[in-house]
Amino acid sequence: MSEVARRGQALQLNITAAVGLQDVLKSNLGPKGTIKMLVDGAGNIKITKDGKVLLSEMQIQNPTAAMIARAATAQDEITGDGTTSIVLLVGELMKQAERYISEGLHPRIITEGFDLARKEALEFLDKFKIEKQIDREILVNVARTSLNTKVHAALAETLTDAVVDAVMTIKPDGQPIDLHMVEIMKMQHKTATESRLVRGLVLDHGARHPDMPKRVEDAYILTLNQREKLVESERKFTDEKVKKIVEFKKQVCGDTNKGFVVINQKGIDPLSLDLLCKNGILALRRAKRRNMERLQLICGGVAQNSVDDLSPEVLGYAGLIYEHTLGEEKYTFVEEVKNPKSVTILVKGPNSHTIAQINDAIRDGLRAVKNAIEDKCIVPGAGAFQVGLSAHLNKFKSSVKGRAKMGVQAFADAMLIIPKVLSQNGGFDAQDTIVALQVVLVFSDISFSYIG
Amino acid sequence: MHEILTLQFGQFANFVGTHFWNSQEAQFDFEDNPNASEPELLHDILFRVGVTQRGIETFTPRLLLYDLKGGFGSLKKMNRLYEETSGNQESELHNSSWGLRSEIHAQMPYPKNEYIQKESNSRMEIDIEVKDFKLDETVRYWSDFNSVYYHPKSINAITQYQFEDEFMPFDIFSYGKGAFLEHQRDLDSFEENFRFFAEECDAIQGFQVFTGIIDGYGGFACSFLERLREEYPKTAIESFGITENRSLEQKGHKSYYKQILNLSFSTTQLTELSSLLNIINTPSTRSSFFRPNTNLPYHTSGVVSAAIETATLPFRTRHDFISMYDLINRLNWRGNTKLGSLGLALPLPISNFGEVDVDRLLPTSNNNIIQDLSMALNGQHAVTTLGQSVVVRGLPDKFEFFPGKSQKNASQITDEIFQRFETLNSGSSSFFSTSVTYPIPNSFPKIFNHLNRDGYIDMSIPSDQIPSVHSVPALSHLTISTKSHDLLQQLANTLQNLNFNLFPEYEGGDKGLSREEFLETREALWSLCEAFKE
Repeated sequence: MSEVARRGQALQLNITAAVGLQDVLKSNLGPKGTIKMLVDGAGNIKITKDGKVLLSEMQIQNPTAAMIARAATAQDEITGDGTTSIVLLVGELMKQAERYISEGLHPRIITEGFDLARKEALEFLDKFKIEKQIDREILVNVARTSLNTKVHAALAETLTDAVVDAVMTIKPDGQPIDLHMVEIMKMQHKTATESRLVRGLVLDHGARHPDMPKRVEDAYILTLNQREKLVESERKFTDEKVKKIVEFKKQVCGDTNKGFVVINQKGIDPLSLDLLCKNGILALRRAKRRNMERLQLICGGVAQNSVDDLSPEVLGYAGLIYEHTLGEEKYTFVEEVKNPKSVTILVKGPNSHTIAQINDAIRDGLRAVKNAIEDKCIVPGAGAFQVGLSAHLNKFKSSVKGRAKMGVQAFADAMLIIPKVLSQNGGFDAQDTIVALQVVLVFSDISFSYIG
Repeated sequence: MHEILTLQFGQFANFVGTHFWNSQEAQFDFEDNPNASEPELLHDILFRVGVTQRGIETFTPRLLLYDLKGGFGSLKKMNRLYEETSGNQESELHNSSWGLRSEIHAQMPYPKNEYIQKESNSRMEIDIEVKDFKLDETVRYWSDFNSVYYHPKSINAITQYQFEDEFMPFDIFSYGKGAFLEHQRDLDSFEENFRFFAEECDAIQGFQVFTGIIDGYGGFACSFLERLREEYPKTAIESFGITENRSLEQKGHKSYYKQILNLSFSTTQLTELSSLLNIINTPSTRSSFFRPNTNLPYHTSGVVSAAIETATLPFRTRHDFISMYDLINRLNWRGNTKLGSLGLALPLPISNFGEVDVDRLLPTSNNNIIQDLSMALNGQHAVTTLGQSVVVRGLPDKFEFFPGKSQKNASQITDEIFQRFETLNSGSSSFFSTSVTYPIPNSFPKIFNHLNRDGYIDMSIPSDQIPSVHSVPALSHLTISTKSHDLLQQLANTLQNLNFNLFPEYEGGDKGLSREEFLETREALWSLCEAFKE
């Protein structure tokens, strides 16, 4: 008997943990959700509406809660969003299950029902989704919806175009979209609404020689992966390499006004910088590895592992390269390029909190746009799917034999948590809204319905 | 310049690091005296000059440190120099929430001990170098005795794991590898933060790494160094794999075998990735001048830090500079012996008059006064030294005159000491001496006995009196020797009899280790063993 009691207690603890986590995240959901400010023991501040960020910042002590958090972050990794929804759904599934378990139903029967409902839900989703020709207008709507749940409306509007255009620019024909080709560069400066899309690359470093030009126009770009000298004995060897670059510059630029920029993935020592500078070359060292790839997609040209046999074909081109300095941070803009296949979203904001929030929002927005393009379909939002699914499962229930029915019922009821919370956060009465939605659903055959 | 970048992985590594940085700061010369001679220590090697958004000039370590969520105590990522606003939470939230509904969830503030309060509030009218802050009782995290301002990019939290979490401990090598992968995916701290420090360096001479090796940090460090090696294939890396003696498990427990597995994976991979790996265990013995509480991480990390600080001095001095690359090449002249051990005499016991018992400095002597900080077992075999580097620091140009005897000077004594170390017949020897003493700031534990203000022996100070010591002379002995053989053999033997299937933790996750990798590690240990045979 005590064994049974203990098991019951453990179950109760798990349910409490799941519901507890749900309670914390509930108020985030949707465009009307609250922004949360987390302050840790040291006084570090994090301001966010993003469930994923909240979960990784919170100190979660309970094993069940930690497991739910892991499931939710896994969801985010795969789809780029939906962390809060997962936590709400898991919490609600547990809560609904609890009702039946307290009436004596064995948890295994419940899970059996859950499993049936899950399979049916996936099939229902296939029918429910709307396959459409995905054009810019749809993408703008998708991006706006996603961004609006994370930042305020005016800012979301600014970012929407940037996000959509970014993905459209880098989208290769018939191949998966690689969002790494969108660089997100943060700049603590001015206001958030000055964030913008740069059709080019912004690097977070500048020249390390005071006399190098701060602005170069009409320029060839040589991308290199050349290691710097390691010990003094390599001096001569290094000088030889620099001379080859200088010779090459003279060869391609001749007497014209064309500029010449070297971007190296490895280091460049001061003497080499000096030599390059004297020959009018702007040189950047220690470029990020992923920027080497992006540079080729933006400026053209091919990154070189050796300075022997350089030919003009390996060069890229940019109409304008200029440096921008903020405190100890330097930025180099590579712009006015032809037909870039990689872009930068420049995130601006007055403080690190704002920048972090915009960064998270853009990340989600980009994923949403990518998903829409690749899945070639959309699902109506604002809880429409969950209301539809719940109704569908209620019908499906009658085809299920035995007590697993109750698991299906619990699953169906749990789905309604999404529209309920959305309406609550929007300042509506949850029950009124659900009833209204269900009425709409019964009297219309369309699967579209909006809340508030 | 020959910059060194420092990497710290783990709570105890950060304890060591904190003492290390405090000792650097204690050697700064804040006096702006144009006639002063040029400082012997080149601080720019370890530190960088910067400027904050608000225009404040800064001098912060070239450092990346990692700890688990909750392992930072009261240390804020944005310290006073970098703070953006008044620190008023409501107004900050108001500014960043765009008028949307908002709420505050605040944890209990971590209590700040008096030392930290003083550090962060210079208006308090006490002398920070004199007051007894009772750090033995109040230090819980490494940040509790930190006196240095770090750049915000130096502070990195591993958010997947929590400090001292019993439910999900960070105690498996492959957890560390997985955590690095996830950290990269989410934050890319290598490109964002590490690169920030690397790009500004003109001529990096090397990287020094302080890391845990019997837990998940070993895996994290290995993954980090793998990534680092992609950018710096040949630059010198000196790693210090540091273990707290008190955290070693008793033989036979499952957690004991986990530690052995972690240590084995860390050792084989870190020797592969580093130019030199020094395996360090905290001291378990005391001497008449030196009495650390071997159960307090605050104490033991201070000793380890002093050993590292002293052994790496030649990389940072104006005179007789030896680069990390050159010194390690000299030590590891065989090329395949990348495992070192470290010993320390703190203080180097010497009187005001220059009296020192040089015979007892040798590790081969009975009752020697060098703390062996290696993890070597009590070897029964005679040790062959393949390479050694001896650093003697803090001897005055001239000692005090003792009536009836000739006045001694520093070079006399260092010559005598070095001659004694020559008798070890090492394959290669580097001897380095400098007048730079080891500074003892108030944040350093009060562990000395019978020493005067300058760290020279003074038996007239009674043993029940805690002397006020401002600096001490010290000697470090870094060796590559056959002593490592026994430890490697023990690891290999343990793995030989271990059923890896009983440790499924290692195989899970994105960066799980396969049985093949386990077998490869065992083989790698055996071949390392061979390298350290006579």
